[in-house]
Amino acid sequence: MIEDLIRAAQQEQAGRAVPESRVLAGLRPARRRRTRRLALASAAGAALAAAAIVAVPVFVLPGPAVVPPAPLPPAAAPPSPSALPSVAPTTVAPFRGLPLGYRPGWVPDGFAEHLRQAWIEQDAFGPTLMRVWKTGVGSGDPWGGTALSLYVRTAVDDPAASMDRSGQRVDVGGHDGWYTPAQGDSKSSVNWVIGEHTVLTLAASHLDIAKADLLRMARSVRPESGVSSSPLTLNWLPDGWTPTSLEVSGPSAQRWRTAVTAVKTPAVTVTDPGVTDPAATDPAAGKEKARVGAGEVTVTVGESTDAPDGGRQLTVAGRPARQPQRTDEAGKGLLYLVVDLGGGRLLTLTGTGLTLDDATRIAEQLQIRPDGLDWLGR
Amino acid sequence: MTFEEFIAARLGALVRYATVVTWDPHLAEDIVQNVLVRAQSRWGRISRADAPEHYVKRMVVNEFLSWRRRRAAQSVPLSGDVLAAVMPAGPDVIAERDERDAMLRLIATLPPKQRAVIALRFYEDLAVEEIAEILGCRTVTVRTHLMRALARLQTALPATLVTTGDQP
Repeated sequence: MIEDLIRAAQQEQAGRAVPESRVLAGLRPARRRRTRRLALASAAGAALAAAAIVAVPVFVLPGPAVVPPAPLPPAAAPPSPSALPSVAPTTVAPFRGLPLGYRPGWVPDGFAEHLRQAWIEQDAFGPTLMRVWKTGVGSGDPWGGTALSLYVRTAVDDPAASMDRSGQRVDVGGHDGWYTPAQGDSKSSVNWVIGEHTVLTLAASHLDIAKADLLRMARSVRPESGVSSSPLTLNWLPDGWTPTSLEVSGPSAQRWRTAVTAVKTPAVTVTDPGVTDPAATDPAAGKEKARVGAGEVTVTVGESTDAPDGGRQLTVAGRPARQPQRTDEAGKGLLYLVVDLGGGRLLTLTGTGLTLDDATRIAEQLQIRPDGLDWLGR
Repeated sequence: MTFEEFIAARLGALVRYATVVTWDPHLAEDIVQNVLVRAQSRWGRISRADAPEHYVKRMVVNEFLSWRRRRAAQSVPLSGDVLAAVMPAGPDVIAERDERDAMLRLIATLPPKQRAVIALRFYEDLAVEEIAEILGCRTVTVRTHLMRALARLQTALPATLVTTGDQP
């Protein structure tokens, strides 16, 4: 019967699914990309329309200024946060990055480390640091293109249960590993457990790398001390928001780009919102509540912006700024704020679930300290 | 069930399901990732549903169909001539091919909604009423999609293969 043929074909197609580990590995970058490209909630637009622009204080730029140093207006060059009376910084749990943990001793010719991303959201793998070797990046969005990515996960509750073991069994420096070859998509990977709670994954994307070379790189991985730090620190976030990831990239230490993402504490921490919120008993209202409750913001500092052109002209901390708006369906709920920091640096804030006042205050109180970026391009 | 528990227990099945719905492993990967990002932010509500997995699978189908709509302007439908060139034209040639391979290629030519319907009907073994609830349409619409999909597959698949479909 034709139904049986369909079922057989579907079972075969199901067997072509990509490994679970790859979906998990891409989950965080997907979350980051989504911040820019999709609207999580539609409420931000309405909130923005009603938001008033308040008088803004100055940037908090302690220590080394943005590189290269730019002349700041007199009111915008305080020596330290303590010199700022306008808005008292609210303590935000600092995102000091994650221990580097491990580094390959060998990478294929032409590759250098150009990107690190760390995220501290709690999931099955715990905090993760991703280090990416590429053949090169520009000063803009570093994602896409050829990449060799090392995922360092040092707080995995149960490595044996969390790992994808569907690939070929391999030895990685005396540790059990599993190699998953590319399936016509130039994506291959190797996972291995290196400690009681440490799982490493080396993944190639957009790269037809030989199994021997991928394993050679994996087998060259050794411990490395130090911390993946962030040139950008957010000193203030609205109540309920928490920084969850940071990203640093660029062709060199002089041409860095960084981004910090924060999310609004999800409603999943509430045991039963329906008990305390009568509106939640209405399925339709409850659905809207869940959507409005979501929030995510990414603050990026770099030489360029991927925000739309134009927008309302503003001044933030004495700096020229603008608030672009998208009118397409996917982007009309996104809040953009672009601030010209001087010296060829732009700050771009992209978010949902927060107001322009929130965005402005976040921008006013951030810190930029581009130290320790010598690893870029090495 | 927490989100992490759901991922640990059901991610594999979810990715396979998405691969059958989309008929594209790489698109399935992207869709599952996008859906899980959204699902995590509203997991409190989803987990209180009777069947969280059912809810997430519905998100996958909707993401796939909306993705198709967004890409529609960029898609170039295959013409009959092109399909004829891709698909074996004569029974002598087809008879030598594995029937599942032929069916794999045929399902890939179905319109997205028909492909989603047969995935829900035959891979998920859902009733027409359940499929209608997932797709947000009437049961008669589901039956129409199902009938057209079967007719299209039946017509495109030579009788020699249909008669051998029961064989292992």
